[in-house]
Amino acid sequence: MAHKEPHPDHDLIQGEWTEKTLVEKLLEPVEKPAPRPWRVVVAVGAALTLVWLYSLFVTFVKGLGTWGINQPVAWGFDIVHFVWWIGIGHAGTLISAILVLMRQNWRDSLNRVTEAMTLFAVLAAATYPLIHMGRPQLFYWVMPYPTHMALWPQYKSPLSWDVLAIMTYLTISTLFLYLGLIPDLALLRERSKGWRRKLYGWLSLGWTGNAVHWQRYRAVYVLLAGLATPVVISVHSVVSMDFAYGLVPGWHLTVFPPFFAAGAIYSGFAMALTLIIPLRKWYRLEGVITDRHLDWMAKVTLASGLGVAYIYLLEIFIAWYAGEPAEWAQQLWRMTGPYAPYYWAMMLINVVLLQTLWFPRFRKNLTWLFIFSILANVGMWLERFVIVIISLSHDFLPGNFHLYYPTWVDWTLFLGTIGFFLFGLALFIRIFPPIAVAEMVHLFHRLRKH
Amino acid sequence: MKEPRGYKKALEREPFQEDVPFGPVTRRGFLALGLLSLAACTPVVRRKGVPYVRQPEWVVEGGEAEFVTALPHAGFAEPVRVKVYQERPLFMAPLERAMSPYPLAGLYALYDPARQGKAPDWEGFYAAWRQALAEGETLLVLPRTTSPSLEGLLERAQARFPNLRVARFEAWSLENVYLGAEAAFGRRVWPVYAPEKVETVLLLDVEAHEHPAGYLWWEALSRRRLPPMNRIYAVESGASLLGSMADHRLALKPSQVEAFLLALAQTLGVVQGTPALDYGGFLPALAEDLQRGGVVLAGPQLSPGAQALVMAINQVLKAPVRYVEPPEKEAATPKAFQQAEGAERLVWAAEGPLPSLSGKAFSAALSLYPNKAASWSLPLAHPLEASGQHRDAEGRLWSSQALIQPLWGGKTLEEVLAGLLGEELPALSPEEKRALAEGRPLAEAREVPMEVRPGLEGRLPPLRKEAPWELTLRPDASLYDGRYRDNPYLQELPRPLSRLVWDGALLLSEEDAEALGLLADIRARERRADPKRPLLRVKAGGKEALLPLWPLPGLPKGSGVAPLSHFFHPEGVVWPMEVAATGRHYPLVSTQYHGYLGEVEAVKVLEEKRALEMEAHKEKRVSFYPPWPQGEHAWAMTVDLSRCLGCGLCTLACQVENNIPVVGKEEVAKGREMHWIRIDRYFAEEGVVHQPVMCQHCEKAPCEAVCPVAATEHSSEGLNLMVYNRCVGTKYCSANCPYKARRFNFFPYGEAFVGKGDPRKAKESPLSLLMNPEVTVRSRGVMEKCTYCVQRIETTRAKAAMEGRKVRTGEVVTACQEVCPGKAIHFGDLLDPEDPIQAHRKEGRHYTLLEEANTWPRTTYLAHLKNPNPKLKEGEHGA
Repeated sequence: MAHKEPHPDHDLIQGEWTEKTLVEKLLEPVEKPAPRPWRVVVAVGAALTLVWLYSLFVTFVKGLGTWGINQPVAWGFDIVHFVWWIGIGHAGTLISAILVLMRQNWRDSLNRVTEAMTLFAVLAAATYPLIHMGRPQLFYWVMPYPTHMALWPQYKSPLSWDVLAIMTYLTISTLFLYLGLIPDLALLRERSKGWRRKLYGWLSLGWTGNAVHWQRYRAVYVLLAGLATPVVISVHSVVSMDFAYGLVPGWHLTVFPPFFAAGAIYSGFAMALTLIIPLRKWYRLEGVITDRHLDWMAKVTLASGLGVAYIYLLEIFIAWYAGEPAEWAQQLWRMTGPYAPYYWAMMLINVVLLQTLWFPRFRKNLTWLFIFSILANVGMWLERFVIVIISLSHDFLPGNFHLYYPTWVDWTLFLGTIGFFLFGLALFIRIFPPIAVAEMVHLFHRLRKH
Repeated sequence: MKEPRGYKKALEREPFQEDVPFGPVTRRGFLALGLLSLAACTPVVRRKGVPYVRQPEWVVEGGEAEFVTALPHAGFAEPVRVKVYQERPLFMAPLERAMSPYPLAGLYALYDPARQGKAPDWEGFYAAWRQALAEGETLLVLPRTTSPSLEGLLERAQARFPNLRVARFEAWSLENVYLGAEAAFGRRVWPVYAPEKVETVLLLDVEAHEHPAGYLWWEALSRRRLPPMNRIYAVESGASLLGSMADHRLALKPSQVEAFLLALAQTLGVVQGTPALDYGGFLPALAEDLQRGGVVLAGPQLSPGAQALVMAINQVLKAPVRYVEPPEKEAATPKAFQQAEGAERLVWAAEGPLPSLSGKAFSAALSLYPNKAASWSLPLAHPLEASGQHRDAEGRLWSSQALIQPLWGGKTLEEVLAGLLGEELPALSPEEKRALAEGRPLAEAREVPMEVRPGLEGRLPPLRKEAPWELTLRPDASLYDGRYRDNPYLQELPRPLSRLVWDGALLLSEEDAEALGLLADIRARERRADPKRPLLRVKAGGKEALLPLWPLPGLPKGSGVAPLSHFFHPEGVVWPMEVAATGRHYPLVSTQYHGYLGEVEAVKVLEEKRALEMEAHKEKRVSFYPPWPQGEHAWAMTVDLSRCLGCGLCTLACQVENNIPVVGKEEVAKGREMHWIRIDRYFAEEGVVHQPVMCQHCEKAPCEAVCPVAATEHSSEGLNLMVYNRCVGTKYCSANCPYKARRFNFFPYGEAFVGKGDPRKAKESPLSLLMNPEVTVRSRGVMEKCTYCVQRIETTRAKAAMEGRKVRTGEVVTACQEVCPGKAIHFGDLLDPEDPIQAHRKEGRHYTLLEEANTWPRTTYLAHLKNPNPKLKEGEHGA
């Protein structure tokens, strides 16, 4: 920035605002009638959620045989989507925790919606390990609880670590979301009537906005951010252990934890872009979610995506360099086998198309950014497909190789979680402000009053 | 107020009325229908919780008894030991050397409710039959029978009813052997070989299940597949398991096989002339080897002329062959089929293909399963329900005893004929009882010394003529000539080499598939695991069939093989063939799509010489974890690939012993077969190699480490245990198993198998009696795998403890080990210095599968050995 400015981040809130108009604007999604696209999203989301419930019913009544999984490919779409959703959740935690510690002002207008995204993504993800069990009614056996048989989970298994990691993740992201919501809930309590007033009243826990409240709130917020920071890295690292711990060629790589963490942040930011670009348009939030915000997000996407792309290339090198016949055979199977189109599509998106984000011309083109954000998540879906399914379909002994074909249940379970995610998010922003009002007002004060 | 319950009412309610909410048959009605017929056979019907007041004889509470009997397959006796658990035959093993899979799989048919037809009206049937006999000529078509008592009854019946004509039908006939003997010796005799006694064996277009002695041959040959090894040559028009064991293999069309035989006979001076070809050095090398002591084993489908040549060659070679009286009084042939079709009055008692029974004045079908087309359909007794006599493939006479009363009112053929005559069949004679108790044949075969009469060349029946495409209709390894089509165990047992299940296909070489322009399409479908294969119109001898095409490496160009179960021709089994694509497709399901070895060394093949030079390989063992506490035993298994034919009997025995369900074609297509033993087949450079893969019981098991609920655990004796009750079904263990030896119950397979497709009917199905009570029937959503037959280990341990001794060396025998015809599987204790497993593990050819995975398996392998003739160049041997 060549010219002098009163505050380096002054353009994070654009347009002429007073405190009152800003608050009005930010509460619009909750207080004003919902725009048409919102209704469409709710309708589509609700319909897909119903489809989801039906396919869950089919899975429970008939059994896992309704899925496409088979003998070598014991994990199919279930684990692909579990990893995919867990990854998507990561942007929220990153924005709320790490960027708070780094005092990044641009997070203030993004954290609420991304945290909500995290919550619903983790909920969607958590369904998969439950329903992929052969006997889901016994799911609680994977949790440590005192039984009369003194039988504990088997802690050598990464699945036991998963349980702990995901439950921690869910707890922390829920707490974070809720804590951030409290001042806004109090604000809404003051501005609403009827059942809403009661709901907000209960949820705001008696917040009056006095200085002591604020002081404690800030302390807890930073403390939680400190606790959540390792979670951003650890959750997906632990998920990656499910694979890295295994013997399967294509899984057995020590590079998996950073690989998965990078992938998670990449897909999380891509999903955040997918959600925020239409949200900002539909609710005319260009003044608070500025082009600069999107530019920042695109840059984070690029940085994490480059990490992912690097490891793709590293994987090829290691498969060759290690001289392990099964590993190299697996790499060739990915590149030339029947699933090769999936592999090359993944490489195209996550390695080649990603490079467009280097250039402001592409990065600042919202249409491209939106398309790329969707493509990036397709790419990340493909990556999980490559890791989980392609690896399992071709492990050691040629005698047991077998391909995997998903069934309609597999697909509807996936579409269903997308529906549940959209439906949940849409309802969320109708009840809770999608942008943290208190944070924004603080930012407004800092930017304008100094 | 509640009505007070009377004693009667309580009785009514408690033992009989259970909540069975589905199905039209109530539990009581079902008991009356089905299980009460069991009550007829024994004085005991088990009801829950009521103990015996007086212990009936034979009934061993909670334990099992063993009986000897001889079960016929295609007329030939297979002497077996049958394990009977509280009056239910549940398992069987060969009594002496080897058996075929059919009697074992037949246990399914014993309990199969589909056998139940209308209540048989035997007296009405006899009356109607006598009536028909009074009206005119009535044809009785029998299957191949080797029973002297049945022949006696037949003679009496024919004397009493002059209108009774008898024909014998068998789709896969042995007549050519007898005709060959007639040409060579001047009379019909049956050859009995002792292939273990010679250094060189030529297998002439023969497969184990195609010859009555096939499995016995492999038992004999496999004894010499260890150094010092015999040398096996195979010349064949198909691709057989026996051929895959050969050190040198030559693939020729059926007519060329006979031309080769003639050339061999000429080389050996059996007939005059000089061979037209030397088959790239194969023929002189073979002739030289044979002259040092050899035998030629020929398939029964070879023409009578070829059979005569084989007998003459064997005589010149001084081969270990004995000739005995033909086991069948009159050869059963496929020709009887046409006779049956044309007959006005017919009693069809044969097996395999079914003739049309409609439009006849009188038609009756005697069969294991009801026949809807016949006006009279009467149940034959299952071999386990039948007493009688049968000769085995070596001509010895065995008596067989019924081990259970007929469940559905079936009778044996003897009983039916006796019924027609109004006679009573005698009970087992004291000699028969003694022979059964001692487990020996009732009578040895009568040997007939034979000399080839001079001037064979002049009388030699013509050999087969060449055609551009030749087709051989061979018995299917599972369905035989179609008679086992109702047996799901056999339907799902992968066919040799093609590993196809539930279907028959036309096998052609890859070159021929390419010549038809279909190979590219097949390869493309293979690549995307699309089961559809081109459907061909196959014409042979004026008949045609629609058969899907399965290209199989190793078949000669211009030679097709179709299963008799899917294509039957009443005039013979070898035909000039025409094939035409129909443009349609048919799904064919195989359990193995990838047959070629990749980068990973999945299986080891060695030459005998190298194996002898090799030092025992020391496995490199590194682990972070401390060793497991060591128990009293250290169970381990070795599989000798040199003795493994790849026949799948182990798979079947394991399935029967361990209550493993059949899952159906669609599920197998998805890759969900449940067999605990999978036989991997590889087209290696040295030929086809078979490798049974089951749970390897790794000491550092990747599956154990990843189970989140500790459902798979390690025992102090080295077993990798599966705790079904604890399994929640994450399938992580399966994903992490480098051998993919684990099987998952994606659906309630066990219940569906017992309930014949409907899991809700499982409890009321008689097939539940087939389930081994020592083994849990697994529910939906749990993982399962080879247990090393842990139930057998524990039973043996208990027995030893009761007798106050230790478990003896080799006392624990697993199901797969018990039935293996090549004795390829050995189960033993690594802590027992006497156990042969010690020696196996010290052999140079001993190897662990995927040693690089550092799993320390307890199941290990001995490399497949080849003994190639150094005079034959590299390219000559192998498929």
